[in-house]
Amino acid sequence: MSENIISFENVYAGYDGVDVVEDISFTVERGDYVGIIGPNGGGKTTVLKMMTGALKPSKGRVLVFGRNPAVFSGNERAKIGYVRQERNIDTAFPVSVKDCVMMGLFTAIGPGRRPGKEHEAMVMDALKKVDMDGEAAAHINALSGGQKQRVFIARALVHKPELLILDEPTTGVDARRQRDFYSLLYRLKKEMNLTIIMVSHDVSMISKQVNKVTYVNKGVHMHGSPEDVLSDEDTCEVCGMDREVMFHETRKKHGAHKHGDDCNCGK
Amino acid sequence: MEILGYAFVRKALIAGTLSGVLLAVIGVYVVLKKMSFIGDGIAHSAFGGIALGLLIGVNTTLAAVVFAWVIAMLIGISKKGTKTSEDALIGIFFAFTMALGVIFIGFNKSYNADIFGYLFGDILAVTDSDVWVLAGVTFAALAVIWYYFKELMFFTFDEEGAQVSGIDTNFIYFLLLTLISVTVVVSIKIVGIILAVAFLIIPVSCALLLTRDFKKMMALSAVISVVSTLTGFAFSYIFNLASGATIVVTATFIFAVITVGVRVLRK
Repeated sequence: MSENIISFENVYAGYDGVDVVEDISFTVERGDYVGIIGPNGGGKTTVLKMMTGALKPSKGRVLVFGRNPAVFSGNERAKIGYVRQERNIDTAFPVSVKDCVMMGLFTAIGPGRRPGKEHEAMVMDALKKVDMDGEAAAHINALSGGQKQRVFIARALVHKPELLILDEPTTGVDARRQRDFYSLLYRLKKEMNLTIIMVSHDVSMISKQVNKVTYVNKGVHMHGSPEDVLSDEDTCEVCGMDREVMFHETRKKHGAHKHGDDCNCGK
Repeated sequence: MEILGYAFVRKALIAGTLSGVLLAVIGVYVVLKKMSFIGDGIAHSAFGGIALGLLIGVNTTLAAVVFAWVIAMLIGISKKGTKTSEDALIGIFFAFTMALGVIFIGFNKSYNADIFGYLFGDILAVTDSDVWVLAGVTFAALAVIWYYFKELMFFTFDEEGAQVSGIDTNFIYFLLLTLISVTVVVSIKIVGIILAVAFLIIPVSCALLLTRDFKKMMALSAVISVVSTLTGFAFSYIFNLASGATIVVTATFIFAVITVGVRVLRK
């Protein structure tokens, strides 16, 4: 039987006393590749923040590796790698690619100590995994959007986590680089036996890559295989987010999307 | 060289060098974390502490450190606990503490010529005890920065990433506010309340134009800061100008020269 490494049990959470997500319940099993989709403001990033322990639920229970992630020890945190939206990071900061990846080891190294040769080797190994070892000395701002995201993945993987969480990793990356990026993720998942959770607006790509899709819009409306979630009438609402792609993908893979009389997707 | 024979000149040079290094090193975090307005708010809040110190007859530096630190903590706590924006909060505390300072001065029946020196700085009025306090604070602040160097760098670059990776970002944030308040207050005698923030910003802005390496930037900021202080001091002595203002004008001139020089060289 597969092991649940994440479970949300009737979770409510938000900011300044206002819940953004309500009554969320779902589980993620070890080895899953989960795509989280939903409209802007629907609560996707809020769900990720609870997984990383950055946000506590106002009600309900979140367990990651069987424990509340908000009270994780340093060793427990090392089981999670996190890649946030690149646009939220100041890449003009005076830091090289190598130093940026090294940051992923700072908690393990601890205050008052400096990185040693073994840490340098781990950084180069992580950069090799994402094919960026040739750019180790480059300034982070000298890289393209796709290259920066590879570096942030290397930073998330340098401490060899079991769970990789990504928040809209391909925003601002062109279509061809996006395909390369998803291929890289798929390879890393196999090589490192990772469980991956990724928020994305790219429904088309998600449907090809992942084994589970979670549709979040204030609550979790659907959580299951891409076939079930993306072809279900209830997810017709998603069409409002990416109507053309959804319609095309669900039709191509699973037959025509069924629309009800009160469906507003326009099809 | 005969001016070095005067004890007050030697004290001024030592104090200028120490505060130059201290403000420039802390300024690296202030500029990169975009906390310039907080630095300004904390510097101005020291005014209330100095006025209170003069009123109740306690050491003004001590009163200003405590006052500025309490205000820095209140800004930090309010930022995390209210919906009001950080900018607005700083503006509120800034005005509140300046207003308190004016009221405290009004209560003080004795002549307040000293206040002008605190507002604009008077490097020639530095006493032995000022130099010892400055030396002690510089040593302690640099030791703290050395110990938490990695954590401060990660926090400044990517606060959310640092939090998820297990760094206690709340602790680092309040540590940084403490460093800023203590640093600014002990430097007030040299450059004054109104000009202190210039020394947090100008040398770092110069260094940012010259290097993309974090450690080199810190060292370069300190060098530019000390050169500005000593050169500015020499000009103020030779031309009998206000020391704090001359030091800041010199630093700004250096910034302008570097900006133009870099532009010309890149063409």
